[in-house]
Amino acid sequence: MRQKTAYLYQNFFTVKTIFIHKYFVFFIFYTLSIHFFAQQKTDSIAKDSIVKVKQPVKIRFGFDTGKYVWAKLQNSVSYDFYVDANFYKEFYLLLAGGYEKHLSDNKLLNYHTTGSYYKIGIMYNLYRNWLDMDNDICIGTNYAFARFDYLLHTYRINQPGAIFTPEPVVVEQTFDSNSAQWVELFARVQVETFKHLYLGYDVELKYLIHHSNIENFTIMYIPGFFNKNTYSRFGFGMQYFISYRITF
Amino acid sequence: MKKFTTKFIISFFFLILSVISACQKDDICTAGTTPDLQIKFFAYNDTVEKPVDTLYVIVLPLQDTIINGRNDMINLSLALNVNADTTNFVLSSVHNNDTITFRYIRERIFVSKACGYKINFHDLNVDLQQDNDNWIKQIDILNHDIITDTVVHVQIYH
Repeated sequence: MRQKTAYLYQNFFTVKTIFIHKYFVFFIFYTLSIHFFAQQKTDSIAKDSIVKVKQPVKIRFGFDTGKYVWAKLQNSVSYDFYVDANFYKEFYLLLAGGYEKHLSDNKLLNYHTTGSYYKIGIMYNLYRNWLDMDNDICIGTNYAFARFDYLLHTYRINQPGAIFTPEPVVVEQTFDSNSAQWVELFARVQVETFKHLYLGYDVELKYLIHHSNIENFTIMYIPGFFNKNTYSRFGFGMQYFISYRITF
Repeated sequence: MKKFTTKFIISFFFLILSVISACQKDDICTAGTTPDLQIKFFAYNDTVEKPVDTLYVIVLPLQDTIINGRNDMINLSLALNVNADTTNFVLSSVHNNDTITFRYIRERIFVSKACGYKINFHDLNVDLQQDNDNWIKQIDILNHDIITDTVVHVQIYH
């Protein structure tokens, strides 16, 4: 343990700290981890039994802090969680989900989007860690789908010929059971700061495959996909997240 | 060839994709908005266009003056009230006030994210308030549906 600490101290300006300084603004994390060790059964016939130590399967749970805080500041609600597991060499399986109640207001329309989304994906770790360090730079793809409702609070008629812009009309109109599906390409960095605590950042490029149609309205905001441009199926997102591993 | 490792290629691929996706058309309102009522002035008992002398147009009940003493108006564009089923205007020519009332049925249509909602007006009807001296002699409705700005909806003879 002493040797390890000494080693870390001597190499303070290693890749790890460079990562921290380069990529992250927030710095408040604690981790837990799960390590599964499995020993392969030895052949009863053979004389020498070679004990094979399997690579530990790493499972991490995380949540998105950036979006949670940002939503609170904007009178909205956003919970995003994910789980990732290292199932083979450098490949990770990623499962994510979230719930969002987002207020949109663009002067003409004021509405709430309430819904949840789920993602499943695979990512590949490009970074080769030294010794005991456990950082990732991953790229991967996701498939995601969302179910959501709109609640239109007020609208203002668009009438450029009027001397005074029309007053907003209060109408609590719901547009229920909308759905959307998309694929994502993402790149993500995750760094072990304190023991088993990871701090991460990711950027996502999204492409909308399908969305449901609404009568006399249109899909403008999708939980997980964020704003949808009228003329494009592409979307973009980024997240700051914390993850921990649970040991038992 | 060693420069072009797998990592480099993948990162480059991501960069190109991000650039492509960032080139999105601006979300501004180019599709339709609420159309205005188009009026054309004619000479009474004739088909000649006749401009109005010193035209004032006032919207009731706010008493806002839309047109202020214009002498050359043949065409008039009026914005109808989108939050009510009637709109009252006072048209005055040479200090002679005439009140006309338009009645219509509103249809709310969603245009786009940038444009929001617009109103199309249907079943247009007009009433002229009769008093001792009307400078407006006759009002004809050519189009009972107000959907575009490009056609004349009402003809006023004076």
